[in-house]
Amino acid sequence: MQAIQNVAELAFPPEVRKFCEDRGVLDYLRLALQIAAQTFELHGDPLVTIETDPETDEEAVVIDVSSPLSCDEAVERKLQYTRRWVQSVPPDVIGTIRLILSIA
Amino acid sequence: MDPRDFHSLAVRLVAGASAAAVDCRTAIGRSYYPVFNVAADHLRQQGFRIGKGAAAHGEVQKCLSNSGEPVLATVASELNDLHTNRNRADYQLGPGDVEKPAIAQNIAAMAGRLIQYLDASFGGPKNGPIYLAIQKWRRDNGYP
Repeated sequence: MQAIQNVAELAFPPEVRKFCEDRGVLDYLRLALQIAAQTFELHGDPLVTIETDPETDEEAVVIDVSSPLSCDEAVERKLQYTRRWVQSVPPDVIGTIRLILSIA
Repeated sequence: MDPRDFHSLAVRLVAGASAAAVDCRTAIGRSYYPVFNVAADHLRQQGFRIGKGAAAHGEVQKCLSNSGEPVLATVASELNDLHTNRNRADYQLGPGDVEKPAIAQNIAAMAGRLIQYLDASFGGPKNGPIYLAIQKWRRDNGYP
């Protein structure tokens, strides 16, 4: 396991890059990853995918990260991440890029 | 019924470290709905006509995102994350994090915190500005 060092060096899957470029949110995705790297002690590189809501067909970018935290600490860190995230992006971007924290 | 009862159920289902996979998945699903329904109830109590169908999920999230209140924007973002977890728990039935008790406990704990944030924000002194911000956003975006 190795913490990510440089978000800019992360290569996104083509479908993620296209989704983000089409919606003008690629820089916000990089920002989300940067905030995550600063907030959590990440184990391994984040996994970035497009997920489609099976009920509404709505699509969103989902960032999966893993960090060895207790339940209580995970809640606090996640809220810390999310406070920074929502203060850094326009409201319309909030639901477009999501972050799922695993505390394995 | 009080949607907070869904949250109580979620907490009970994964109270032990050996909770079964089905309990973890159910707890994750039951963690999303109380947050969504408490938020929708608060918005309706403010006089906003929140839809009843599937579109209401996005509508509630957008109202919170555009409330001008950072705490509610935080709830909006977390609500989306809870929804993603809920979809995984209900539709992706292969092995995964949604079957782990620690993950389900964490998600249930987050839901409890978000309900507290909603109750405090809509019941607190910022309620007036929150109402005005949401009302403006709804008018600007064609919501009743």
